[in-house]
Amino acid sequence: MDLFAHLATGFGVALTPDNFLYCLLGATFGTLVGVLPGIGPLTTIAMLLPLTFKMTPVASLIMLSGIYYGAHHAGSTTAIMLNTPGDPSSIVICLDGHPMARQGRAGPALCISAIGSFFAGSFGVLLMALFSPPLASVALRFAAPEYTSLVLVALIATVVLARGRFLLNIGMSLLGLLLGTVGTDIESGTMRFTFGSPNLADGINFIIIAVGVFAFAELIANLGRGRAAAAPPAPLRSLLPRWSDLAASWKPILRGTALGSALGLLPGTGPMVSSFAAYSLERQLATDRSRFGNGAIEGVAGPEAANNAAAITHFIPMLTLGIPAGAAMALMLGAMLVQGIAPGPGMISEHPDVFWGLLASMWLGNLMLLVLNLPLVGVWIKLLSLPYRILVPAILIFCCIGVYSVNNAAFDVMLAAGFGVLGYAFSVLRCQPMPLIVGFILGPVLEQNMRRALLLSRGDLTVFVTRPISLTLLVMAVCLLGWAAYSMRPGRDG
Amino acid sequence: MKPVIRDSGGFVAGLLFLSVGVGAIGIASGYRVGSALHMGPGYFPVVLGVLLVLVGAASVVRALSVTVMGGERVAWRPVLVIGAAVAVFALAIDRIGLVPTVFISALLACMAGRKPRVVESCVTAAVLSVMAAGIFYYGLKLPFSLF
Repeated sequence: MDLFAHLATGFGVALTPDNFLYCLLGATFGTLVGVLPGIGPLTTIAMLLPLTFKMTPVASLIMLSGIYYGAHHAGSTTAIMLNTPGDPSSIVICLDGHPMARQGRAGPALCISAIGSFFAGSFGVLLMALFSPPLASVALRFAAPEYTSLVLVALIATVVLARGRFLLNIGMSLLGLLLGTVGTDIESGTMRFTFGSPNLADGINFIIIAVGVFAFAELIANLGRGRAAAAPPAPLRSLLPRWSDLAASWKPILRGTALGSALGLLPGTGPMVSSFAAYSLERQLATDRSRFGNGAIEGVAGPEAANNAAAITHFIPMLTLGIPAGAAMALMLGAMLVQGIAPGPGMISEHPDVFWGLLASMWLGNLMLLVLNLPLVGVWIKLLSLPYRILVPAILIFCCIGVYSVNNAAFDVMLAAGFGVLGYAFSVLRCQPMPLIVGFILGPVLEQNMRRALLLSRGDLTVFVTRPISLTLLVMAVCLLGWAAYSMRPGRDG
Repeated sequence: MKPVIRDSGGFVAGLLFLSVGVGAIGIASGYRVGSALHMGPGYFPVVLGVLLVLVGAASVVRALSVTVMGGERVAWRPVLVIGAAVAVFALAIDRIGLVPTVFISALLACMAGRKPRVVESCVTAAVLSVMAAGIFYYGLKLPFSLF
């Protein structure tokens, strides 16, 4: 069968010493930052992006994705042990994971969450292997009008489904699209919004925005909030769960995996929404709801599985359609562009080694995390005693050098400082940066396809509604907007 | 009755969107806008600008009627100090080389917290300068001058 041949290629790529090392490195880095509060997966990806440009495309994607799912795994460790979520998607793990730890059952909680994560991650990888190629081959038949509509749906879904307020999300998305137009217009050669500066002629490098908005702004926001002292770590006795724990967990793990796999595909939702959805699902289904919040193992198993399944299926739209489903995927997409790989439906057939190698490495990485996380819990917990005031200059310097080294341009670093301050202003105004970065990445795709579509149709706008696939996509977009407008009706904080 | 701003975050964000939108329309209409058949370089930005103005205006109007609880206070010290630390890096890196730049910039970054500790900050900055030289100059061989 084709699939096995592809998987064999993939494992062949992922198991070369170099790539295996980068996978291990990525997973370890991811775990490290997942454990440290205040440095999320986005900050780390932004911080380490410039370093990956010297690697081969496969190696850089393997390492970046390792960081991403590693951080998702590890966030729950601190949630259980210290009641401090390492990243937003593990907030919900605190609710029942930490009470379990307080009752002396930290081991079973960690173990069940690791097993659930591994199962969900493997299932996500399987889904990706089965469904990405057919999805991509359908999308390969998309012409400019379909692609325009697809990008529109993705942008609207991002705006509607993302956290935060609808109007502000639209504004952020538009701002991102506008930032994407800065630089030389490909078709006419006109300089747009460069204010006469040659530094802007090639547009704004997405790393500058990523580092500014996700690293510098995060630093400022964290310093401004001040940090509540973390709870003392819960005692860790036996790691092994009882049979009754396993019996209570397997169904939530299955349900969480299914829910997370589905939600991970939608733009704007992703791991965090999935883990919250899985938690409320488990609570709904429970016979005795009062156990929730007091150390119910279902409340750990379900969300943890959902979170990790979503973290993997999140990749599918990015790899098959070139549509990033969230901020982290937008950063990945940017990294691919820098590496000279055009994301989109052609990616799997043009670069099979990249796609299948990445896929195989994700499964290997999940296996590594199972090994890394459980026995080393003690080591990760120790890391938390590293004070944030020492991390601040280290992150800042690392980011500055990274941004500078992309083009050896001090101008870029100055621009990143500006985006940092702007990003902090957004967080004070409660504007989500996610729609901005997705808009920035998709902006040029939207403009080019729209121009091409209208050129082919001789300026006839009906081209978007007379082609069935395009029409279907636009109907979806209208439905999403209608739903958003409905939930924004007076009396509710839309 | 005087209009009351009930949601200052939405109000300020709306004004921001409005002004960026107006600016974009102003600048982009100087490029060739063209028609739907032959979109010029100005077409897409002008459309975005118009949409931004609409969203900004809606957001401002809404901020006058919807009350939003809470809101974050601006942390001026971290904004200024972190911003300055990055800006100093940008200004210094081409002039005085990697090691002094990292030292000054890291030292500044240490001052962003509430109660900076002088000795600890100096040690951190020194260690970071050595590490930066080790990793990026000797390790990755990036084209920096050390001093």
